[in-house]
Amino acid sequence: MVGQMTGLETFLHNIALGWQTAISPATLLYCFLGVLLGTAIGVIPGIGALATMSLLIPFTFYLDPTVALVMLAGIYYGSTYGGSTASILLNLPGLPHNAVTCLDGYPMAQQGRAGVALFGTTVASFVGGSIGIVLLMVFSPMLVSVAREFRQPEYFSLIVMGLVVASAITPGTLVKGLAMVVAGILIGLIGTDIYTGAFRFTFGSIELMDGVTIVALAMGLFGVAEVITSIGNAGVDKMYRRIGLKTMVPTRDDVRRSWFPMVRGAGIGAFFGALPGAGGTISTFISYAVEKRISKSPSRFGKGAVEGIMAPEAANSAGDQTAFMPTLSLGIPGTVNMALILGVMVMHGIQPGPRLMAEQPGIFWGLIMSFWIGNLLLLILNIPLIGVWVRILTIPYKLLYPAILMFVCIGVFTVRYSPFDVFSVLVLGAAGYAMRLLEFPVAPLLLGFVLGPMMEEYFRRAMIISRGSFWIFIERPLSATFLGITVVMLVWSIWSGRKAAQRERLLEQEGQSEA
Amino acid sequence: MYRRDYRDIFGGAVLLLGGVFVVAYATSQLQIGSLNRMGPGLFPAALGILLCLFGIMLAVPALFRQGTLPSIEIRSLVFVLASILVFGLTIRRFGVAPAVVAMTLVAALADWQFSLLKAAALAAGLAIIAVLIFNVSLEIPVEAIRWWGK
Repeated sequence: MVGQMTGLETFLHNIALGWQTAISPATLLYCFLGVLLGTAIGVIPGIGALATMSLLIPFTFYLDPTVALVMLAGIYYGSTYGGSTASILLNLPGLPHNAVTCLDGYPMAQQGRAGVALFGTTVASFVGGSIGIVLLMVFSPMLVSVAREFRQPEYFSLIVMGLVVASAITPGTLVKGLAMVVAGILIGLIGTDIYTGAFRFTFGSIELMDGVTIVALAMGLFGVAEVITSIGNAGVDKMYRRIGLKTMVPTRDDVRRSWFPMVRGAGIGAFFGALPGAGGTISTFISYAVEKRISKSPSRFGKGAVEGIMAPEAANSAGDQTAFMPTLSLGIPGTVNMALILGVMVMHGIQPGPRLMAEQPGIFWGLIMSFWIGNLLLLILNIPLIGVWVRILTIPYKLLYPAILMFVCIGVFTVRYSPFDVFSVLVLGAAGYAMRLLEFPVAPLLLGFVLGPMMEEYFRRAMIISRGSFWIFIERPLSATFLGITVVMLVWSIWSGRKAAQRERLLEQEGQSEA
Repeated sequence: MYRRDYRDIFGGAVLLLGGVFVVAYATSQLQIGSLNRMGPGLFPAALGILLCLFGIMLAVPALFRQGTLPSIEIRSLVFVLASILVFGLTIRRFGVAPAVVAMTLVAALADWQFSLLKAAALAAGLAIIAVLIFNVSLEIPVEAIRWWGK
């Protein structure tokens, strides 16, 4: 009983400490800037949170690490709030997260209910985000206490699991995803080997001895490649609707229909967000399917059913928050955005992992408490600013992309004032564009890049402990569990890929016989 | 529609070649060591073998199925990359503002809708923004404009 009391006391103490950090003027300001910028870039199709976060990494060197993380995190979850705007008004998702919202959001806009839809998704994002933060606060300390038992084999197996799950779930074939993970790990190994001092894949270049920077990699593969693809098809309509506050008032029926979908969506999103590798997009599809299945009138879906936007939007916002769980507690990022956050933490000399919560509670809890402020700001900001966000949609892309390229170039140059990094962005941008053409998913590559060096280190140490026997990964129960899940995911992914291919072949044959 | 899926055949071939190169580099330039005393080459060599396997798994089935080819946006590709190249070549010698102007003018060529006047106005605007952010407020150690002879 006494132990529980002190446990609760430390919990409350930590929350108070986090709150103090989060409420300081600098943190508040950068939290505000982060969520504002996040919403803006979420609104515009063709600029993602990842590209924006990597653009801002060079700026974070001028900031206190906590403040920098608060800002980058704000961009990340803020973009999910904004992403639904284009889905609803243009039938064009601002981010992959928000693709499902098109299904019922766009029909609502066509029925003249765009205001209600935009208001609804903002509220759903807030409710989902809040539930996500509560779960993050409650479960992170538990996860940390489990993770204290982790040794090198567990970490190695967990990383393998995260990487395999990430490539099994991303669209496209499993082989391509896994190949990108391996390529990412290899790029991560470029530079000086910390154990032996040997130079690996440096080809005599002094710049490569420190390895490829995450800034250059993310900006090239995501930023530059995205610009090249988007210039060609920047066909955003010049449609502009005035959306006043009055048109946003939902009917009583809307409100009644929204509660449970929001809560269910948040639950589904929170679960998938916390899994390493799963990410937010899949949870939006699942929560939409669930709502359609349990609805008494499933025929309304796809024609402007309010449940069809509330559940997925709550799901992706809840997932955004719980995604921080494996990142902050274990040091294992589940998604690319988290990989970038982790990369920034390491750059600022913060070692994420189970010890972070105990050793630097100010950063850990400060960041989490800033999510409350950020979500509240988003709720307050978005409702009066919806008109402004709608107007942002009309900025032509040809004015945006030179500005993006400028920030890419100066940003990457200022990391170490070396034109070498600018040229590596050029090469990586070309590579990223080639990957898009060949339909290789880029996200697993970045995950592999961040996790690869850690993976090698844990593997090496595990091998030293076990004297070169692989048995160590299987005789330890937790490690064996992670590897078991990995095998199940692989089998499932191969099986479902086969089934999809069969279905396609059947459809093709039918089409041919009809013709 | 083509008789074979050339996209995945090409993708698989790239993976296979990359894998062969990695294995060759790791085994010739780095020490492999043993499992309980891993050298710097062991992990990359293992990954290189995996890359070869994935390349074969991708390319071989693609030989026996139909496929389409992607269309390449050559204009965007060339001018976007060229603008980055121009920036990299000019930033040290001429400073922030000239480099931004030069790169914007090149980048504008990627979109056929740009007139010279509009592109010049955008270049000037971006140069001012860049100098205000990076030179005035962040005070990076690179001059805004580097005059000749200095």
